[in-house]
Amino acid sequence: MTTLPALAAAAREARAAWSTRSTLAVAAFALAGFVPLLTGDARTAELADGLYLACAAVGLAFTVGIAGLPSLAQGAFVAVGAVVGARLLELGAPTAVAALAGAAAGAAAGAIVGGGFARLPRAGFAAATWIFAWLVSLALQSLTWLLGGAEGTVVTAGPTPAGHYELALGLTAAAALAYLALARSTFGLRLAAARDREAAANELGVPVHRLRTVAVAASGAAAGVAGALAVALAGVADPTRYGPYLSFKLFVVVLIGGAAAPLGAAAGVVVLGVLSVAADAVGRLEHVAAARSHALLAAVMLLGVVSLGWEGLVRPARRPRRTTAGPGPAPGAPGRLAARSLAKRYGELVAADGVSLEIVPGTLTALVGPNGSGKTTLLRMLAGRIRPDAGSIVREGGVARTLQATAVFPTLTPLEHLLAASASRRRRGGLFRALLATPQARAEDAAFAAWARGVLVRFGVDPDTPAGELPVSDQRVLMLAAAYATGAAVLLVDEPAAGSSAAERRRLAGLLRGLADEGLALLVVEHDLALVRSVADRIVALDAGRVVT
Amino acid sequence: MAVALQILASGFAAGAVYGLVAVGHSVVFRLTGVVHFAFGELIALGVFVTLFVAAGSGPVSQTSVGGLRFVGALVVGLLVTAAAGAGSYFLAIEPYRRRGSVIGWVGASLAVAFAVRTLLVVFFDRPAYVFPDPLPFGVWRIGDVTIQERSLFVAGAALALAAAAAALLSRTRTGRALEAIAQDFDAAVLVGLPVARLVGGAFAAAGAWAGLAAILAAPSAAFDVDAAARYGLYGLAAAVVVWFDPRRALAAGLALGLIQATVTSAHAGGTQLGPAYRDAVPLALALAVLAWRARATQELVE
Amino acid sequence: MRRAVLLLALVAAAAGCGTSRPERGTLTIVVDAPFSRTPYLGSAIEDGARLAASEIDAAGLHVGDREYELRVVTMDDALSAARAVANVRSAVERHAVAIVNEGTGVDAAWRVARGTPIGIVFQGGRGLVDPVTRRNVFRIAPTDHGIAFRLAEYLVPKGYRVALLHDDSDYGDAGAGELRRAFAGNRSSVALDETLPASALDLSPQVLRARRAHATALLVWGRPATIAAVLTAARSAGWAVPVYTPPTGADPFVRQQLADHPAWIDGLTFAGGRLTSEVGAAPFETFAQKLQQAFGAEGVGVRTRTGGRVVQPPETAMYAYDFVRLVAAALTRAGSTDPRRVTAALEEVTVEGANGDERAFNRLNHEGVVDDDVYFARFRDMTYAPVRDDPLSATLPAIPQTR
Repeated sequence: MTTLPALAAAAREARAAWSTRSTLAVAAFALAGFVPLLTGDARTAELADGLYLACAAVGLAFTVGIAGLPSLAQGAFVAVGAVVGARLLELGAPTAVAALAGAAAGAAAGAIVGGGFARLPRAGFAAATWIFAWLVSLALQSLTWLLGGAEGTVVTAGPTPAGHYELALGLTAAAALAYLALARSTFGLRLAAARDREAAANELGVPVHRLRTVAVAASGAAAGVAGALAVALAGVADPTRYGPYLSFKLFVVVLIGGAAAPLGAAAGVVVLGVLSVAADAVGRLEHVAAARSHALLAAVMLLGVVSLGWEGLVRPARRPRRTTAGPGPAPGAPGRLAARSLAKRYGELVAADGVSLEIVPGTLTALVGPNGSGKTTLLRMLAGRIRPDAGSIVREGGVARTLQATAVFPTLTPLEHLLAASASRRRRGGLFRALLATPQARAEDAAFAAWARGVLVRFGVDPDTPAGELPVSDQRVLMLAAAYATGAAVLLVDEPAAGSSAAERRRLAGLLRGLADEGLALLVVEHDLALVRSVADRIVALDAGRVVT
Repeated sequence: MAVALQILASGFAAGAVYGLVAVGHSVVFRLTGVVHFAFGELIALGVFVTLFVAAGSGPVSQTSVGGLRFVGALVVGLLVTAAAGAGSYFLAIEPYRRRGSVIGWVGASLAVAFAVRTLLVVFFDRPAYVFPDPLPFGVWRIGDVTIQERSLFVAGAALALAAAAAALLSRTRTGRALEAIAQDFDAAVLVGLPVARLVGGAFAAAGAWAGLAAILAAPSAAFDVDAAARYGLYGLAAAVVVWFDPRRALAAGLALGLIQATVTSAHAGGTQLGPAYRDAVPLALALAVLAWRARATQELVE
Repeated sequence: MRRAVLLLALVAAAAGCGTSRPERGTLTIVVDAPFSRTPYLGSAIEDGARLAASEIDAAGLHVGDREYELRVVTMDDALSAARAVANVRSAVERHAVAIVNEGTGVDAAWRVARGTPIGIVFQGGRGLVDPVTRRNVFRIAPTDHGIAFRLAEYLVPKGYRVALLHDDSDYGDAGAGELRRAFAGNRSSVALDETLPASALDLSPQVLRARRAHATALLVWGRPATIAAVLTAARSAGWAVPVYTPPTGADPFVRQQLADHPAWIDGLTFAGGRLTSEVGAAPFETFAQKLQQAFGAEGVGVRTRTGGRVVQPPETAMYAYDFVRLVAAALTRAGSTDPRRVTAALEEVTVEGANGDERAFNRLNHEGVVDDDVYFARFRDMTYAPVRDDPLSATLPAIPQTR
């Protein structure tokens, strides 16, 4: 698309997606830009500092809001950016270079933390990032070669306080826009899926660990740039400012403001500011030393606010997705799955013993057997989730599996399920394209959305109701549709008809048969023999881990 | 060689307290699935309340407090810590844990930590405090090496408490009930276990236990809120590295203490890492071990 | 509360003494100190400044053809350089006529002060004060450099093998540098040069190492907690080695920490800025009395063997007091409240300090305390007195420290 029509298309889209909320946000930012005209240098500098904090907070929302991880290391990432920025500024580098270097350093630190700890359960991730925050803080104070000891590193100032203010305002706005773009993209959808049900997301081929690492790195980048620029503003990089308390403040700000909305974090900073001013005022009434009373009151109020169990101030808005005709995902090539002599024991229990199986395109193989015969274990081995003790598996064309228990992502709509599942089939869906919302990326978004709607019509599921609110039978069908959307050539379906009515069984039978006829290779585990007989091309029976002919 | 022995003794003393706190962290996590971020601050609360009751908030010398008064102060301190532990759990953490919101209880427990810390700093604002010490611990000398008898006592107490915790969890009915809760809260409620009471009790006990640890250790040197927070931090690091296993947490704590003492004081040839690295190295090592364990636990196939 | 009432009484008395006054302008003096982290230090500086301000107001402050009244405003920097910068920015916005600072953040903040005079009254680090590049920075406090040199001058002739122990706080690191310079010509007097962890509970390994290096004296340059920990480690190991320290040894904390073992404090010797003057102890004692009446005495929290309550002589308050009086004299001399002219005038005026000495700065020297105006005092029975084996110290009287 050439530039001018592309811009016109973008403008039309934006207008279609506009809402009161957008108007308010833009107005607030515009008004905020005029504030330096009214305030003196000292106050402007304070406000600019607060805005850098807001930028770091919105950055944290990438990890806490989009990826759903409780990251307590954001303050440490700010510190990393500050150290790199301070050292460069000290050497006389221009502010822009220091800012970029800070962003890069923050991103690197985020990648290390994410890469190392994102595999842990969430409580462990919180603990690890907390320890990391302390580590950075203590290191900054004792390792004088980092920041020159307790007095910090002095740098010559760049822009004026007013300049910093406008810069900080711009960065916060950019961060909020980035959040918006990422949350709606497949990056955000897949992370949301992983946040809701990690196991199911894995089965749909979502590279959970990699995406989480990227989210933490993105948070680190936002923090790093804020840290470097805040140093330029203050004229000194002061190690005492980057303690665990900063990470805590950023985290709570995101919690209060609402992790799921782009401007939630900024709203949280405002709340914190208001709390501080209120505490100051009360403190002055009592003539207690200001620093003490302020801290105490802020703490008490914060505790009160947090204990109320808030969802956060700002709720995310749901915007409809544009659909246009266009090339959807390319159809996948036929594939197959061949397993030979698989064996697996759990101590005394034999889950599989010399199981050989071949699933070819265009067929539906049913796997039957009593409970405890090893069917689910076999599926997990075929899907690659667990390693067999012996034997080999050949996979061609990708494998997707539905879980035995209903495992849809409650907060995502069926449309979003399919978009997340089909993310690996995108040609123009990378992280940076999503961030910049390029015309090609958006066009592909719309085409995939149209295709996904078509699929959902075929499967008979309403595309726009959050999956948690759908009836159970629709949820099961949705799981199947999502597996189909991954484009895998082999589908492993675990007990799709458990607990369904006769009508629902017929619907499922029709869908499964249709998928097989389309050329996919299906393996269906099922108890209902009537259903099995009506759809299966071949039946394999399993008992105590062995194939029974 | 004498210096090496001295380093061992110092590391052992600090490690015993870390281990005790680590066991507390482990017990809390095993029972509730919650990481108690405010542990260090609750310890500080216990120590300072005891100090306040024993000697007021003015300058105090170590023996100016009589034995009976100190015991009374100790009891009050432990009660306050237990109450604060249970109270903070019900007010701040439980509402989020019930909804399965990890982000929520993390924020809430940190808010508790922050609130307790600022409260303490308002009332106890001197850079360091002298803690009363009526127990007649002396110094054991082996040649030129001095070993504080207090540190042996703390280590012994840590060992005893860790063993007691492990036994409680696996052998008694209450203990097994509590472990059941940790596995599945909802099922436990259905079965009829008084979940809230048991969990609140666990939090209270953990708080009191930690307070006891700090009160045992405090008289040995200048004590302030930051020192207590560091105990909490190292205890957490030790607990996380062994993934909250109470039986191994004590050992992890001792290891951290020894590593710290070695980094601080050991000279290899003429060079030394030096005190500047006393926090960076142990914590970085703990994080590295944790990351390595994180990789290994998931069963991933290429 | 009591402080406020007394101050009010002072001001009321001063106001009552004079005839009816025409409208007086107000000039602000900002005290920027770590009130929330080291409250004693903060309130000492504040008290000294307020006492000076109230006396100046009572006598009347004439600048040009107008009369002014001094107002003292406090700001907390919590030992954070960035906060100090923000405070100085704020002070400039309020048109403060001078800033009294403990020393934190001056490296970063002096430019932001836009020529407003900054008076450092506690930290003695090298590089903080530089009359050529930082015309608006002054100091009335003993310098680390001076203390280190005097310590070397005192200890080397005694034939000691000194273990130089310093902690890794900023103060300790700076001091270590000064000590190395001071002992550079006498390396044979140095048995060991060791860094101590600032927040450690137990310094036994390091003290043992010093003993193994055959040190016959310990010089501990660090914060009060470090000094207390070294004394504890050495004495509980049965080592009666003499211990020397910079002024932090006189901090009440050391005596509080070792209150159970008064014998361990006996013999501790520290270097400090000379408190009294050549004319005798009377002016300093008068100053201490005035301060005590207005704000109460700073109790150390320990008692002597005979049960007397030990109080701390007001050193830092005196420096703050002297600086504010110099500022007032400079204002009068400059005839204007423009900060740059006040700064220039500060280099020309002289006042009589609280202890009877003359305090003045000049174009080339912004240090209000002469480098070698450092004396040594030794503790006995929880109070200290000047030593007799140093020429300067031998001439000084002991200051009463019990009430």
